[in-house]
Amino acid sequence: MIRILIIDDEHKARNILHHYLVDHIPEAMDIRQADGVDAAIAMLGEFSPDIVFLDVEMPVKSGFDFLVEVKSPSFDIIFTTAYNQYAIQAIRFSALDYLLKPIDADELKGAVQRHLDQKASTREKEELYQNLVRNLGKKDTRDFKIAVSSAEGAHFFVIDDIIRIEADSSYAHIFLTEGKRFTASKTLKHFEEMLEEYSFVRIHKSHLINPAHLLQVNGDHSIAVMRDGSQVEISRRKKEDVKKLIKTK
Amino acid sequence: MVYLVDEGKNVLEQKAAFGPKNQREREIINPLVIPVGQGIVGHVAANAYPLLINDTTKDARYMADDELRCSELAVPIIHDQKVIGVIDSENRKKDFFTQEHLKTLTTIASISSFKIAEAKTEILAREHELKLLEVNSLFAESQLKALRAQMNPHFVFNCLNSIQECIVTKKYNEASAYLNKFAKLLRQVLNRSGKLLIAIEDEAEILTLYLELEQMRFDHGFQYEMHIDPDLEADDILMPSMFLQPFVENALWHGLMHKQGDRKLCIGFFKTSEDIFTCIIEDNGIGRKKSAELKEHKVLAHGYASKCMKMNAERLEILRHQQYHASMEIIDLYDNTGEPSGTKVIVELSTNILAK
Repeated sequence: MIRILIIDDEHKARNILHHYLVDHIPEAMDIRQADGVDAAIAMLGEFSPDIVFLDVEMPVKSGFDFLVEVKSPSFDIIFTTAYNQYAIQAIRFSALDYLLKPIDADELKGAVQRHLDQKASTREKEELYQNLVRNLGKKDTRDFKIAVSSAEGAHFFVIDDIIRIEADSSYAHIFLTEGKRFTASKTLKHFEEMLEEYSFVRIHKSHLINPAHLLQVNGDHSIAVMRDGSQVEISRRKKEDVKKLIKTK
Repeated sequence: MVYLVDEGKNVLEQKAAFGPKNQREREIINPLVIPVGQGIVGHVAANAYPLLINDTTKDARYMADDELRCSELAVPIIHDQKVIGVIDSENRKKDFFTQEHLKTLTTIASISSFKIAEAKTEILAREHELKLLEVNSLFAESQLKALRAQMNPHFVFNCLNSIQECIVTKKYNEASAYLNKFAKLLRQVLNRSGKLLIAIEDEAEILTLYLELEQMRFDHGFQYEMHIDPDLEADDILMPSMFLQPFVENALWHGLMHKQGDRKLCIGFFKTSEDIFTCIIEDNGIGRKKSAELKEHKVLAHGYASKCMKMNAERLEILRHQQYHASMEIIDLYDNTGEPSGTKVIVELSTNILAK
């Protein structure tokens, strides 16, 4: 059984979530609503939710203000937003969950399921939230720190530290500068979507590279040599793209 | 040596020469700059009167350029009763120049004055043309931005979200009404996409649709009034499209939504004179100062409206470049007790803005 708090300034938006939760999440038993950050914080004294659905854009105080005021939340936060590319990127980079409005019932079910399945420790969650708050202090999303959960806990690094990412079925191996590497339980597609606006290129179905760390290409454009010395296969269809990359360097 | 007056700097510059200072084509070696009033040449420019000096060693005004010469003849080049330059000639011998020389040089000066004035006008015209090109490219750029800024994506998705709520809660009539209004607004905006200018009437209609949708979204949590002066030819006079939208959004989001109780927004279009009309957007919200304070403490401040505001300032600037009247003023309102009681935006525009 899970207890839920919905925070949104718009009554209609709260109403939708409430209805969807009743209709699609049989585990939801106590669903409460707050129309703003202050009202929500006042409720937390006598109500301890398992999941908080938190609208990002609200007048007076934003959803992120709630996060700052709560400091170390004892619950999972699922952010909701209609459209704010900056906020979405900040949330994604911190490996936290969000739903886009209008809400899709399947996405809602998926987010709740991830909450039920998760094994992250309280400490790790706290680190993720702290990373989000830290990211929100940066003007440029390029300076955001990416958080990646792995078996050993959360890792944090900046975009420029990534040399390449390699797919391994539903996992991804991330190769960083200074010889560091670890494995994330996310698909390569996840990272491709997150990093394509920073000009990362998928040169092969299993390889995403950071062009800033590309040194040269060998063997008639079939192998990319990266700064750490690693050699990465280039798929036939991506040869032209890589040629252009080398030319513009 | 021919000198020309640089009016901005009030100096004479050496422009053309025959003699030791001109050894290659039209180039002058070490061109000299003389303040108007200084030296013999400067004196001629300042007084618009020729000077014939028989012995320069006895004239304190004489300034040596490349070498010392004993006699000098300088005549002003006059155009439109203004000295635009000086023709100057020097010779090593004393008492070299005669009244005959003076007459000849004066004639040359008057002939060349026309040519020089003509060339100057041409340069000015070219500069003007370049400036116009610059304005045009600024214009094109802001046009692109205007197209992109037609609708706040945040608003679009929130509308869709509100429609979804009506469906989920089985309020089908409301869902349908909402959807119709949203479609109408979308159609209006799409129809006008690519057009920089729009009739006042159409701008007012888009704003009305926008406000009606926002009213539905907030369960009529605010009131609005739209007024168009009957003396204003609102169907005929053009204004920059989607120009008032960011002001209205600002009034709603930063003025009214932070306030409890009575929230009101008034939009008006008035005829100021034959040539000028005025748009007024007034809210009874918390005012700019308090809104800025709130924003400062907020982790996530809105970037969209401020971007639009910057764009609007550019659009006004372009209209002014095109010689139209375009002004904007933001006034903080206070009630009888001196408390902030809202914000008023006044935009004045020419009634004869034409589509290009």
